Amino acid sequence: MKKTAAVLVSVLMSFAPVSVGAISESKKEAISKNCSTTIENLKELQHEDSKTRVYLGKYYEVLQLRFITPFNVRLSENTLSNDSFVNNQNDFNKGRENFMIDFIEYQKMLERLIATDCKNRPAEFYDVLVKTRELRKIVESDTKSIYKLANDHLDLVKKIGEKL
Amino acid sequence: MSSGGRKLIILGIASALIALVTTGISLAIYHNSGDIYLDRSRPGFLPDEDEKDDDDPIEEYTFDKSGEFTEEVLKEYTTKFGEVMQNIEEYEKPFGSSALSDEALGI
Repeated sequence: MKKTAAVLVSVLMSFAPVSVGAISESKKEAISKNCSTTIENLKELQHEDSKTRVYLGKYYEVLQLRFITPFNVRLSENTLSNDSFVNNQNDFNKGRENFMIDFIEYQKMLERLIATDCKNRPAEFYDVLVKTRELRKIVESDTKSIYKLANDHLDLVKKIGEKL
Repeated sequence: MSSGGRKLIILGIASALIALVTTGISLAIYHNSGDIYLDRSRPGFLPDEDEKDDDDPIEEYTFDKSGEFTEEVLKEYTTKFGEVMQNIEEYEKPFGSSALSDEALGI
């Protein structure tokens, strides 16, 4: 349900007009002047981001499906399971889902940025750029959150080890 | 032209139209659902040569769902888990903000 809502919001956001804020004339000039180079840089970044997502996504999946989930099943079988492990697993799964949803939103905005006419509409381009930066920050925050949850899991495992 | 020939042409045109419409709908769903952004088989996003799977030390490892917990089991688990974490850490600052800074974009 939440995923559907997030997708709907993302679709609406990608069509919503972006307010054109004030930027300096020198900035507008720089954007117009370097337009083609900027677009090339953005396309390269889009490619790199796609590569990073696949790379990290693969290892997040490995952690969830081949480590955390079977570990918790085994804990349960040995009646060693507790709320901390269950909550950590749920948060990790949710983190992976958020990473995917937020990455899609960010990529949609990045695509919109690339399609914006930076030569003739530099102010609008800059506003879309600001929005793209915000969405990229959310994706970055997702990766930090997943990394922390994985380390938290490892700490919990070490505590189990101390009890043996 | 015979009546059969006309019907055959109409059938051909109708088939082509149906194929165009359904393909258009499929592409719209593919784009709007965001799947396009997760798909690396689309043109321009194919994996680079250096992305070919190397020997992956954790490839064959899956923690067993059943069995007892011993120190040895936990040690192996934390070691393998650590290897995955090392791979993740190879990206020092994934999606860092500097990539979209004014300086990076030359504006």
